[in-house]
Amino acid sequence: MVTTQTVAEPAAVAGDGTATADPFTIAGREFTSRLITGTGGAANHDVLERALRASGTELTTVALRRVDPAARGSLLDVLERVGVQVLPNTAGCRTAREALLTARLGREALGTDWVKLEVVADEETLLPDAVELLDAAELLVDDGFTVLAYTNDDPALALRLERAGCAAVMPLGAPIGTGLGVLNPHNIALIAERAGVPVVLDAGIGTASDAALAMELGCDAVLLATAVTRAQDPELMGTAMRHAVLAGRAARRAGRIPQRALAQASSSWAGLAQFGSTGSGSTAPGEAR
Amino acid sequence: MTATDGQVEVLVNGEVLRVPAGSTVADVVAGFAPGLEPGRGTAVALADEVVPAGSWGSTTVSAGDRLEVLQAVAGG
Repeated sequence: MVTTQTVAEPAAVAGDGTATADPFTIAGREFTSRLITGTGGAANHDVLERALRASGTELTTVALRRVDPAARGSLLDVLERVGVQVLPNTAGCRTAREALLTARLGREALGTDWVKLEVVADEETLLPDAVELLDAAELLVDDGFTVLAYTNDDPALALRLERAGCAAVMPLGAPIGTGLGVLNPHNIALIAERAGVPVVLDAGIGTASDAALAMELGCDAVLLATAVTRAQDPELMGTAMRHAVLAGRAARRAGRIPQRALAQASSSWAGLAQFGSTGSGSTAPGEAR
Repeated sequence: MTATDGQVEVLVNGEVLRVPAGSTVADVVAGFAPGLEPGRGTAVALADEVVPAGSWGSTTVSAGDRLEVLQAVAGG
């Protein structure tokens, strides 16, 4: 296990100025970190705690499950020590009705109106069930929840969720846990471009470049879990993701160069020296075509 | 469901539990998961409705009731 010596000090990132002056807001709550994490998949609470700290996250999801009377150690203790806001989810729900009851139980258990709404169609793909999802979003908004909706990479559905009152839309990059990255960058960019609420790329992230790409496409934040918790070194991957999100966001704000089919010299042709009199070098490059 | 010895059967997280008639949600939870505190990451549903932590002690269970006793765990 690689430990603290490989983890950059937060100041190393904050020191560039642009990273710290770029908060984003969900439902009036401002976040400095644009990396939202899940807590699933870690080998134990200690690994999770170190990974969360390294990631710099300020918002993290939890699930609700039947009490295990034999379970030891409280996840909430870990999250309190790290100092993150807890976001209960509705993972495992298949219908709007189940999602509403689960969300209400999450509100009761954790004292928050915030919920990550998940309504999945089947266990094989864990893809959102669009019909139940939209129905659930409407029910939860009516019930006073701040809804962050996990959704497909479908620009039309994202707008419907926004109109239903969701505080954020969270399109998947790829199915949950696959690590396949952003499978439809065009749709993600379109969702981000048209949304009036924050867009969080949620699910499918496998490694740092995936998270950076999501930010470059215009997403406001990235939500990931097992990319960090199931990495061989979760703490180091937490650090990697923190930097990836910062880098991707900075690149987005900086404005990338257009992609071109042919080369464009970065050194001027003007004043180019002329050598010899034969061979391919005899023609000034600018005249070659 | 109501036994002759003054006990009733309720279903807690899918398990049949025999509790004294007139037991409250707080009683049932204490018997099922000793030490579990209301609030603090826990929630109870009785017949698919949330029982607020403040009502665990005043909500009685009846024979055949279904309770789900849940807590926040790693996920998502």
